[in-house]
Amino acid sequence: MGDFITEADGLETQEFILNLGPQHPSTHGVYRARLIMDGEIVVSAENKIGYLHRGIEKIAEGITYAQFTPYTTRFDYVSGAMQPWAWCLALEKLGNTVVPERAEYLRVIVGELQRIASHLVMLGSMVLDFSAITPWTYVFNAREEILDLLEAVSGSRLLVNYFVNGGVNADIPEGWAAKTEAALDGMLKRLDDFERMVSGNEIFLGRTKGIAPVSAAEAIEYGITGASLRASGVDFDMRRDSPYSVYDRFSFAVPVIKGGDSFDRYQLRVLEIRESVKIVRQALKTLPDGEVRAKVAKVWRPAPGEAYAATEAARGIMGYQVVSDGSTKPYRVHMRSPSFCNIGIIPAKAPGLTLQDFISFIASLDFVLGDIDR
Amino acid sequence: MRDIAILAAAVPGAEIKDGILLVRADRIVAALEALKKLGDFILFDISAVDRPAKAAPTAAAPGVAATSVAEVAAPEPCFELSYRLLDMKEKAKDFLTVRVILDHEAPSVPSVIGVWKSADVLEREVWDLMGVEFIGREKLGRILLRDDFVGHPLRKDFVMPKRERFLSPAWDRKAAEGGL
Amino acid sequence: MVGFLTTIFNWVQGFLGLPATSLADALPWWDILWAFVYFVGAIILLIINVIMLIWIERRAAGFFQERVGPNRVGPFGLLQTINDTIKLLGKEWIMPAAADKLVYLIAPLLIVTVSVTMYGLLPYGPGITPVTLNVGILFFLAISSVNTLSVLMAGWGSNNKYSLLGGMRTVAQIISYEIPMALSIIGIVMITGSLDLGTIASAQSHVWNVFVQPVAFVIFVISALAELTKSPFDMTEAEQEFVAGYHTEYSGIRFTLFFMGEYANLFSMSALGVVLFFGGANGPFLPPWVWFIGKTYVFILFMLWIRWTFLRIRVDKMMKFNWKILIPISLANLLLTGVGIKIWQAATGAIRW
Repeated sequence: MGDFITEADGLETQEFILNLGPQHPSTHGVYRARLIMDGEIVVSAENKIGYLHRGIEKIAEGITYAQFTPYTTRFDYVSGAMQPWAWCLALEKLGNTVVPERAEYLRVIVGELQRIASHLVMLGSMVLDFSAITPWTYVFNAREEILDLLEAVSGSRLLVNYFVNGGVNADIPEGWAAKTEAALDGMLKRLDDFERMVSGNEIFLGRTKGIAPVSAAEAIEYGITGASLRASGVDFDMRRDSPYSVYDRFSFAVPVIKGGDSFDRYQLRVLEIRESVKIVRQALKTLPDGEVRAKVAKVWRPAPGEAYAATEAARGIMGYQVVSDGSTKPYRVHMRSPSFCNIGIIPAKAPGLTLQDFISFIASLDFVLGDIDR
Repeated sequence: MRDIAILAAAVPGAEIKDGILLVRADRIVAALEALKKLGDFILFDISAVDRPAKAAPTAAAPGVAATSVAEVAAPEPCFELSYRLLDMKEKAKDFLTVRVILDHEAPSVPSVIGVWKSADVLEREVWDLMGVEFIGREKLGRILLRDDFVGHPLRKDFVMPKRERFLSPAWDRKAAEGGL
Repeated sequence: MVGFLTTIFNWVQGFLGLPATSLADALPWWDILWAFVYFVGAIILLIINVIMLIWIERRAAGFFQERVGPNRVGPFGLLQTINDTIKLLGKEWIMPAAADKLVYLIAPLLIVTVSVTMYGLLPYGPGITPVTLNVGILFFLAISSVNTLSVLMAGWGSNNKYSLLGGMRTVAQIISYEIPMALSIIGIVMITGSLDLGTIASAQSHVWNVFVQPVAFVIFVISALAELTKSPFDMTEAEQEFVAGYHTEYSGIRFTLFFMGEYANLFSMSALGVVLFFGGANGPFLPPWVWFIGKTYVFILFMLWIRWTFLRIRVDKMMKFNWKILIPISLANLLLTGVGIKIWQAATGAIRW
């Protein structure tokens, strides 16, 4: 990598400290990386996070369970609709609530739509970090189709408040299923345009192939989950392997790429978008009738106990530990954040990358600061 | 998940309580190493629960599948530290919880960073917010809170200061001298 | 232009019965007046160009990206740039306290000076060329290198690590890409036999040079993009990596000058391309300067199209591309051109074996 830097005789050089962030156009939020650099090459990197820490776990101890559900969407705000899923699963375990069939299907549909939208953001942001501004606008145009659907079903585009303890908030409006099919077609067409522009582009491949390869063993060692894990060759997806909700009724492939460099992490998300489209289509076809919400008391006092639930969120595996002491407010809520664990690998892989490669690396890891800092 | 009895047999000094492996604090490193040798685990979460009060002996509601506080937790004030591992073995994928009960006054436990590197950020977070010491690793630093923050907010006895210092020490000094 | 006024002057002379002298002898300050007129004209042209180019770029970008672009201020958003300029003029001039003052202040001035100088060299048409130098191309290339100096001064004087990194990258890039540009131009010079821009333009009356030297054209386009630090070579002002590169610490009018300099250079580099490859100001029916401006703008649109489509290259790959690919190709092109010229001369009997 350093073949364009040579040691001139007697020339003294000095390493310097560069703060990448927290205010930086390409760090996906208020993330700071304290880099020690030798010219263009990163010698060491340290994650400095916490700029967005809002103490949500502590807030949970002061409000009721139902009041906390909207807070969960604020963790990973890019994929807001599927954030409360793990929380609702944990609450349903605590209260032994059975979620009606229709609600489960709707959860899957909205969850997968949100996963598509979230992956689209990752793709767009990654190429935006390489200054490909036009593909980014294409991707966001594709995402608009999905946000319109989310708005029709819940009233908000980004921080979607749809999942509740016991089911979903409301049923889908009339004609929404047909709209979804059309929107998915439109989105796929734009995704194809985007792929034509980017995936085979010599410059893009030069920026992402071979950058920061993470082997399967390293991925497991550092606790990486989600698309980054599958891009390193580990075949694990919670939706197929320890299925929650009604995922076991749908047939979909779990793409795995053996490789683990930035291009593989990018490519895997494109493949996952297409798989999610399949899931949504199957779910819409077999959507049963019925209630969308189980009866849960307004002032809900679960029995004292503890429950843990995890889901495959867009960025990795998200887990909630909920401890209840029998009152209306949780005793302790702990959220296992996928992005928080994924950034643990940055200090290990950064040495030797140039600054541009470092940007490519963190863009491909796809973390969101709301998720990391909580 | 693999049969918990088999796992407990592999781990020295583990007891099973309601599907959770309870291990003594000083044996946690050996326990996790033994589990890692079994293969296909990811250390996936470390979390702590602060129980300052004696757990009131409540009977679990009938049919509750969740673990009951009264049965798992020691009746004394303690910190419950849970290590969650993701079992990825073929046809066995699920979570395994390994729990350690720590003393409430001075909670400390050997660090497992030598076993899994993912423990690095997770332990720092637990120390930062809960104040559980992890021995045997390089200095624990604040990760989510400000570097010079005093206190551990997620503890039950943490009182939010009325006036939170927000600006630089130089500014504070100036304000104290009345120079602002 | 001068001929027109001279005609009027002679007519007035004849009318008033004055002794016939030429205008240049009659008024000793005639040359200075014309130099001043051309100077003012160049500045006005620069300003109008920048305004039009910024508008075109924003609307074109909107078109490529499936969005509208500015359309509120003035019809079709034409007055948007004027709006932005007035806003920028009113901004506070923040200078970093530890900046190297002299260097920091001179950098934006230098870039505009260079741009105006380059405008003076372009052959807008027969008789309207402000300055006719018989070493036109050489001077053009030399002057455009001073841009490098201005960027380096901006990067260093800002006392900001990001600006310094951006400035150093820019210097490396611009200096490297001048070589293939010069080599591709030498081919044209060999064919035309003159360094003068006006001569090169008028020598293309039969066939444009782009058909005679296609390889040189491709090399020129790539090098021009690199000289102008436009995508895919825009790592010098890579927002996503350096916030704004060498002009991070500039605000208000100083930032405007950098911005103007960038667009002014876009015009002059495209104009150079048009003169070298597309016949300059030649064309039927319309006045020559209309052809010149029109062709230049088509070329500019082409470069903007490239800019909005591609990603940014990594610095070391860019350098490798230049030294290992572009320069050998341009040298090969030069060799083939030389051989081709000799064969042509032999075939048309100009020389004897």
